[in-house]
Amino acid sequence: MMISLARANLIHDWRRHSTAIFVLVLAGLLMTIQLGFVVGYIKTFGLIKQQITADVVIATQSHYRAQPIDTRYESSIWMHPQVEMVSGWSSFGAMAQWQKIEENTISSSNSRPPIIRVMLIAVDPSQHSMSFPKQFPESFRALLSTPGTVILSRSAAKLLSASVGEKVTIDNIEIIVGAIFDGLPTPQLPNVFTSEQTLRLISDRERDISAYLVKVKNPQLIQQTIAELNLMLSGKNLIATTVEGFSKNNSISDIFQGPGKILLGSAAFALLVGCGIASQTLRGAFLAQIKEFGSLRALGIRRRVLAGIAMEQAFWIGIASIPLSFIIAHLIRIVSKRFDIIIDLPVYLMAASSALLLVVALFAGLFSLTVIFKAEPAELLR
Amino acid sequence: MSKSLIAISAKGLMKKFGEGDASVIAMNNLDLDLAAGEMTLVKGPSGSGKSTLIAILGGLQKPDAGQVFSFEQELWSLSSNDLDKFRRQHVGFVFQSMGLFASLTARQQILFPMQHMGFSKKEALIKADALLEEVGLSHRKNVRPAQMSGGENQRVAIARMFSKEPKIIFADEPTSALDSKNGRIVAELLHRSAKSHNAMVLCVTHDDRLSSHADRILTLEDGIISSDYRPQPLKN
Repeated sequence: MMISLARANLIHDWRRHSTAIFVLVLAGLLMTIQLGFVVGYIKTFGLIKQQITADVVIATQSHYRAQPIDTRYESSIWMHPQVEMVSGWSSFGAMAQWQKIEENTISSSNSRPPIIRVMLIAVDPSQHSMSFPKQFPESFRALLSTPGTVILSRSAAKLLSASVGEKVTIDNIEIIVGAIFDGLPTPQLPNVFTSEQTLRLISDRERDISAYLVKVKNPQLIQQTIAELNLMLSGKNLIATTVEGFSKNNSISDIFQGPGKILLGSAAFALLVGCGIASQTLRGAFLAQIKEFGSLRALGIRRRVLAGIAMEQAFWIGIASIPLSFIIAHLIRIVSKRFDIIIDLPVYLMAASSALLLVVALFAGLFSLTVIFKAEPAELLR
Repeated sequence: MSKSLIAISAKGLMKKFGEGDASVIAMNNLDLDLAAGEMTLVKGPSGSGKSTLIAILGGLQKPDAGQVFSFEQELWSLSSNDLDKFRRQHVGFVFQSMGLFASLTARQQILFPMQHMGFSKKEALIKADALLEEVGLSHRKNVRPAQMSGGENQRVAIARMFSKEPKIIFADEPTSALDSKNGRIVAELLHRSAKSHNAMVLCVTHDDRLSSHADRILTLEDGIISSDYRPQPLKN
């Protein structure tokens, strides 16, 4: 059996190498958890889009941000013989300020209830609506049709400390919480579902249409209709797709926006720090054996063999850190869920972060090679 | 001494460390021929250039001037890779610090370099066991350095060096940290390798216990050989 000096060193001097493993686990966790946040955050955004009941969604081709649609193209969509209904939909929620109504009006200004920023999402509660969320019960149609009534998800209600029947103000307009439902967790700001009518009460700002929701006459011809619509819309920077496709495309573009971008940058920074510290730890481990490596050089062992030992040691450190990072990340995910923080760790994310962790470990090994190359046997004679 | 027995020949070796007033001349136009099958001791005060001599003759440190000939090659005209190859093929070193890996057993210390020197697994295993037997440590083959005495570790280092059957052996203070028994064993091993393997052994030492095993004793002072004599063989 071939003797692996790298593995033998790792096992024998595990205390020293555990520092490198620990640092890599930490870097891996920072990366995985933050990416998990991004994926969870995107997934929750996607969840709202998945609630659309349209057969076809037509949106701009931009992969980076939902773009307003040129409304002149609506007539082109109607020209397709399979199109039964077209309605505009806006993914641009309106941001507003949520504040509880003071019970004691003579209280000092210092004790005024806090103002919380919320995201207003307008849905059409009518019977033929394609934006009425799939998971909303029929009773919500009537609730949302009542002007000044909003509906909250359980996670948003928790963040806002709101209860059913409670009166609050949104941008100084008094509204009432009509219902609270389970599901559709809050990705960023608490989501407040309203009707277009209530939204206009609160905010008179005109909102752009970001997609057209289309109902087709024959549901069996959806794919064919999508293909034909795409032909008709070519050159107009619009693309027709299914709800699933729309939700997925937008999810990818959401990664590069706002908090997603910050978290990605932060994850990259975590990796960089992990790489730096792990390489220093490896350098320390190699420096401690500099005489031993020097004696091998004196025996005529080539530098590249020593470099191979260093890289193998880095590889095994990376391998050891992956399952630890994996287990701890899942524990954090479970704990976070209890606090309504959605961290999604799909297999592809775990596989990618494991591979990245290994690459970081190998880079750390590469950076520590300079020490190995300093292992000159002449030094042993002093 | 016949010319065919010369294992290493040095001509006009010069080596200076530092610059200006702080400079130290470690080797001063030194000429030296070392024969195969002989164990030569190099003695001298600290800073006299003993270790520098080993480093230059062993292809570890380049002289400022002069040449070193061995196996019909001038060492310092070889490329770095060829010098590695020369050391791998012909040269063995024994250091005071031994250079054993704390993570490897005695047997693995010998096997590890062998697996990078082109030995087959079977061949390496047989040879490693034979070498441990030769240095009297076959019963300690699965023991790591921390569980062995300094003398035992030095014997493992010697066995590792023997694995490639070097024709040129340099030893730097190999017995200075050893007790009398282990010191004697190490000296005998080095002497035996000179005689039975016809190797050239050059041993830098302050240890007088080694003198009785030497065929030739050199004294180095200020980078020049101040004395060169052959002690009378001990009578049994």
